[in-house]
Amino acid sequence: MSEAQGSPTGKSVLMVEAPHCMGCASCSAACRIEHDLPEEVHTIKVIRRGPLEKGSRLEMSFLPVTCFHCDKPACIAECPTGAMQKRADGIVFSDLAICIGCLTCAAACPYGVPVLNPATGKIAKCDGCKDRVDQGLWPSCALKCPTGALSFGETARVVQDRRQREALRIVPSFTTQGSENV
Amino acid sequence: MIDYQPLRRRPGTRRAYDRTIATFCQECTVGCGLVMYISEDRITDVQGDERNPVNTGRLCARASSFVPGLGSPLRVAKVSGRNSFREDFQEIDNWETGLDLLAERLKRIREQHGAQSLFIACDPRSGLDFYAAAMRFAALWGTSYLYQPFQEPLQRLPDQIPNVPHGSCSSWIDAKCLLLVGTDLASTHPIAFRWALEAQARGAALVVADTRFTSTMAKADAALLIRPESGSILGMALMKVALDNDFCSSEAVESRFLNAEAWKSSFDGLSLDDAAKAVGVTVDNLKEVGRLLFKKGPGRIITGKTLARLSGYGIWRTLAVAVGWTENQRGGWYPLDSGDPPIHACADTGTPDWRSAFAGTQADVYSLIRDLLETGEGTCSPPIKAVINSGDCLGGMLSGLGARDDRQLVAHFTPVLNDVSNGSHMIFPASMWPERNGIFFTNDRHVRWGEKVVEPPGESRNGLDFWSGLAARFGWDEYFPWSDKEGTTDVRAFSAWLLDQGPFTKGYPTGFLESCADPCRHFSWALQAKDSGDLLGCEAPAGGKIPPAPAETPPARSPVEQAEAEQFPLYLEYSSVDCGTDSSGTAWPLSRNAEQFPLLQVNPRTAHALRIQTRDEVLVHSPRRIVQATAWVTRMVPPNLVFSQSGWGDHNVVIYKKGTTIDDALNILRGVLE
Repeated sequence: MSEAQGSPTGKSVLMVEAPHCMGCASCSAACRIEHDLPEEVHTIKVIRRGPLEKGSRLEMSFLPVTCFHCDKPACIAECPTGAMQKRADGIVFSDLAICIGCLTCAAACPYGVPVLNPATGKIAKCDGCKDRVDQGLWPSCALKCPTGALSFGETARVVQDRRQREALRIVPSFTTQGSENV
Repeated sequence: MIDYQPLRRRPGTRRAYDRTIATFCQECTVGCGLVMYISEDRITDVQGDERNPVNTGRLCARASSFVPGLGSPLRVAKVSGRNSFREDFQEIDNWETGLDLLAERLKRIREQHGAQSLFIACDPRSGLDFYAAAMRFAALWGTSYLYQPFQEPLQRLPDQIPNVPHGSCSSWIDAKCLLLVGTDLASTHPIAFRWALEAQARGAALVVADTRFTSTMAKADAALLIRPESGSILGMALMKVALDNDFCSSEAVESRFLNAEAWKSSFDGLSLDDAAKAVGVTVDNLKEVGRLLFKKGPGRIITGKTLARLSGYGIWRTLAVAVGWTENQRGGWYPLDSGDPPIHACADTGTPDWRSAFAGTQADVYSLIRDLLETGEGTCSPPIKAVINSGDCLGGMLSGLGARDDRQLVAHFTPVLNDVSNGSHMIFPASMWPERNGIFFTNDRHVRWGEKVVEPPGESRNGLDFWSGLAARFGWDEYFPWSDKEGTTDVRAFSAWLLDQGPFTKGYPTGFLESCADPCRHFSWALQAKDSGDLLGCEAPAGGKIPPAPAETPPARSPVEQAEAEQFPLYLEYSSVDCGTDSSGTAWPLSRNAEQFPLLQVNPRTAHALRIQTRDEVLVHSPRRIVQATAWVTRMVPPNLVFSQSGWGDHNVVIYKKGTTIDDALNILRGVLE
């Protein structure tokens, strides 16, 4: 499964390629450290599915899940203080100076993404590493991901990269140079 | 044609900093490059070093998460002590006074109970200097009870052929197939495992054999769930498949093996049916995996650290050589236990042949230690009266054990308080790896030097300080000449001396350690002994041949072991080694908050029969102890096995829900496991 999460304006997206995920939780730790979150708060989670019995075999897969930065975010519509906001580049974030930790956004979110940070009494959710992105850096989760299951960039570029890698996987001789799977 | 340009990674930090330091992560032995951002002598951020060929900027959860640990509220900063377990700890004036008191108590115990009454346990995270200096102290003191979980390589004797990794983990990418046995790399070394996954994406076959269905196994093209302690038998069975189906390289066998014909004929008597039964798979499974691997080859055989203690461990090198994989840059054997070179740290102590009682043993070391610490029976005479323990290497073993009235002294050298501290008489604050200089070796055989990045808190000191100070109080200063009058040691000089004590590491020039700190330079310790010219097993022998591992019959259980296994029919497997900080957070549906007791993985079939559900409190009943745990019902374990991250030396257990009895559980389990 591949899906692009992020900006509807096509500026930048976080690409999640679940088949590449090995469930190491590097993304979760990187996010926690980047945003000084307590150990029990996970703004990006790796959901382990399985092991499930498939005939005589067992199967297990991993799905990194974080905020989808929706086009029309229910969390923003319901936030009573206006703390939850969407930037022009599509990143949905909570302004912690205004957030009162009422959890209305958590109830409104169909994916259950916002959680309470018990250390601050305010909401914790993926903010797209907006402060890093503003400085031209990759989000911490994507930068540290060991396998490249998470990657980041302009939508068209990320999708192109995905297609080219798949083409080269099928026919390696197509390439004119050594590639690195990002 | 596609002119493929990979997405450009944009690394860096958003945080303010004064300077950066490029160094290497010492959370495990993969050897990832780190860039630490420092502001006012504090680490403000850690990123992967894009220049390092092993991690190329990526980091695992542990490498990202160590910084908060430096300022943990559980951090120990002062020496403290108490006379008995019933008293509270009192701060001791300073480090030197603490060592005075420790030496005094040790002297008394030695006079009353002899030298063998001292047990020393070394956590690998305490540093190579702690471990090597502990060896010297143990040799001078006269005890052979020194334990370090991965101690084998450093204590190997000169005439033994070390097992060495063939190539670096980043070279796995070129393999045509990979066989991983007894290692959950996705959890323990995800940065190394990424190279296996990259090879798989390029068409390599990934085969994983383990006792549990791990995250690593989830990525495999072929998986073998094997019985505990059957790793070497699996190797022999695969060797038999290779021999029977002409997958061996006759050239390699003839040129590389001593007595090749006798070795081959040893497999004539090996029954594939019996081997498959002992491993817990079918003969068809073995043949299928064998064909997949040997037709695809050349490949890498990657073996986990726990396999190293099994009888017949050498079969993996034999297999890699026999099928011709070691002749090819794309193939070979990569034993995860053998990145450390042999170093003889005690040659000048008057006991040049000193070895730990646990080195080279193929018995379950945890069981030996349990017997030593709990009963004083078995190999221990007289019983252990004093324990010097570092970090958390005996976590599950010592928690509760320390508080025995007949144990006269437990000293704990640790950076943070843990269960072991609760059962100690004295606590000495230890520096953590970013707070000390130190040498270490990676799985790839790289020699690395880590410079101190930040100052340790309070009176925290390094391991060499601890042992040098203690040795001085016994008049052994001359054996620890790296200490000044203030008791501070020169770890750099000690490390250079240490390298010179190894046949494969001696003779490095002055300034070598500084070179090993350079993130862009990569030095591997030599594959050739400096004096003898003897070549090691995985390299092409120049005129010399290696003794191949013959087929062995699986060792039979003793009557006592058989009776115990019948009385306690589940096998408890445990491993404290995990990627760590975020492992509990991913152990859905449980979170750290739910973990009042250790998590215990139980198969749904077993759990259903015993009416156990996830989150239930269960009792784990072994012949020597009953321990409480929280159940996690999952198919990661087969019906006859339960898994925990802590253990106490027993493997045969019965589990049952609180409120039920062991007899009820036994009756049910016998039905289920049949």
